[in-house]
Amino acid sequence: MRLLVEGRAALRTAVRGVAQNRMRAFLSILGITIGVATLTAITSITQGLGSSFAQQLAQLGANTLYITSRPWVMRGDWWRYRNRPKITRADADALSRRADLLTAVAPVVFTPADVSYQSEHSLSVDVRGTNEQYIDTTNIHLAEGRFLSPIDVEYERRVAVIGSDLEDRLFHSASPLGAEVAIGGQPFRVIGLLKAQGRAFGRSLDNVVVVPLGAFGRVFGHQRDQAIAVAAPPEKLAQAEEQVIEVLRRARGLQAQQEDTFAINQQAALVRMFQSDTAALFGVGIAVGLITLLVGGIGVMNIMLVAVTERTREIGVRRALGARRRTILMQFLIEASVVTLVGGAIGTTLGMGGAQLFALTTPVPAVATPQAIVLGLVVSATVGVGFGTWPAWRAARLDPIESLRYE
Amino acid sequence: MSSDSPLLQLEGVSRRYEMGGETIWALREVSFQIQRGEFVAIVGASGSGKSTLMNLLGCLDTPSAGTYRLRGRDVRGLSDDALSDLRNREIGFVFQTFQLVPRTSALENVELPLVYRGLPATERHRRALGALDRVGLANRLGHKPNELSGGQCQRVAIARALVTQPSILLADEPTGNLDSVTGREILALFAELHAAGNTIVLVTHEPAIAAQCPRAIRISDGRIIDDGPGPRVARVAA
Repeated sequence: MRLLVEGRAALRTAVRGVAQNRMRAFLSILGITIGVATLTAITSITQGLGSSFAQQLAQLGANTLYITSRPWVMRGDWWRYRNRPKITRADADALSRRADLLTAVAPVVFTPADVSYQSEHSLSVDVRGTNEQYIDTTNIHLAEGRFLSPIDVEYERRVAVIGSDLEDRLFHSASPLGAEVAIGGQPFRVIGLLKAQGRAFGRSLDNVVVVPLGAFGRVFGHQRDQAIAVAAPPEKLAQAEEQVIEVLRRARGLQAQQEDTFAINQQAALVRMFQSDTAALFGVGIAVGLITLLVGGIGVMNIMLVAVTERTREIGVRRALGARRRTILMQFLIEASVVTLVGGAIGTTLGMGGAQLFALTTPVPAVATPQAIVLGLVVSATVGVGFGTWPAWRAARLDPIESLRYE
Repeated sequence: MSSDSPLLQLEGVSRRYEMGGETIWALREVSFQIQRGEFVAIVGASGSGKSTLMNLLGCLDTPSAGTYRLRGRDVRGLSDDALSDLRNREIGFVFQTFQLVPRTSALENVELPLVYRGLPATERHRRALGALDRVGLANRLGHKPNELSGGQCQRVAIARALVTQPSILLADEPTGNLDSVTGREILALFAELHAAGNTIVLVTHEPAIAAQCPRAIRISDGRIIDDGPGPRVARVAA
């Protein structure tokens, strides 16, 4: 009971102290605020990155290898890859003929282009030229109609399978199947609809059109660097990769001592890269946040030591009136915690705001979780108690007689 | 703690300090008693040991030798917490420099000792209002120390000392920071409180103030050199 009464009185004194001395409070909580803001922002952004990346990766098949002229992940060594020949139809043909471990081989070319239907337009649609096997190398699914057939690909027919965004934007409620759309100004007949996939990295995954490779070439030109998506049974993925390397080296006539002139990418590598990148980002963010908190904590300790010195006589009076040592200790701990909690609350708000701003201005989403708020407040209260302990202990140890006489 | 035993009883009380290897005896073999309801001045020049005596009487300090009994209870050997509780219950301090907690209203200052007793807010409030009314400041409840005159501050301090209904009011030079008119008013208030049955110990260096008290104890070089009716002790000193 007594402890509760004393605690409430200390809390009131602490809140009033912050309110009456705003400038000092502001300066002493600045470090805590910045530290907690950093921690909150980093946590939100990393969590957002994680969820968006998982979503993004879901559309790439898990058992798929992507052959490109330059690797997806280049770490300051782009110059090594700059003169590599493009991936061509010949490479894809070689894989189809000779790599017998592969269950699907799909050359893919991309370009953004406008797609229109009657008076409706859709700008910057992701147009992909590929073959009938493409659907087996990705996680896309057909909603209606059919996918490309070998005949469509063979005869370079002007047919298109469209994503759900296009369906919504160009056709409203009418069924698009059989309709004629213009892709890059050329007429294509819609033969299939893809299931919606959602968004990743701030972009829709459904603003897409898949057409036969040859038809793509006739509209957009044939001289394009391709990618080849190949699929293999999961248990044979490693062997399949060896085989792809062997087939492509032979097709490209590479000597034993020559480097590969192509790169094989896979989702797993991307995931690893992502994980190590976010772990590094997370680690750096946490470290910066903690160092700032340390500095902020020292600031709070300093302010509390000044407060104890300034209020020496008050401490003496309180002791004379019957405050025990632990009452004084508790009072200063509560004051330190109130200061850091105010800093933590402001920091959490700023951090979440910063993360939201980051999410709005970049493709990276941020997820504000209740855990981040709780973490921010718990961390700041801990800093208050941690760095407030020494000043509070000093206050509690003061001799009442000396304190009363202190000038 | 029978009612006929003295409220305060000092027997052979000494207090020494070690300063740089040197032993200083601030009090030597001091013995006296104070009965319930007395109004006693402790008078002496600065350095006479009267502050040390006041700290001992107020349970802020304990004797190096001898015994100090407060309501029959020996304070030697009590823990810091026990001394804190004893001060809260038995002693009402009034200081020369008022020692009000700054930026805190008169009412809250008076409530403070009751906080350390663990009383709920409504009860603290009720008692603090009563104490402030007793010293004639019922109309200054919300004022902060910097909004009050010196005399009003000292009245708040007296209310704070009274609010716990202590065994003794212990006043250390209560008029030292006041002009003579206000000082006289404060002394009149003490006389009034004494008349109402409170036990008051007033520490002062001014014989003129001691002269207004029914009893005065004169202290010099850590020893009691006189103890008797205030006017006589003061006259001898002056």
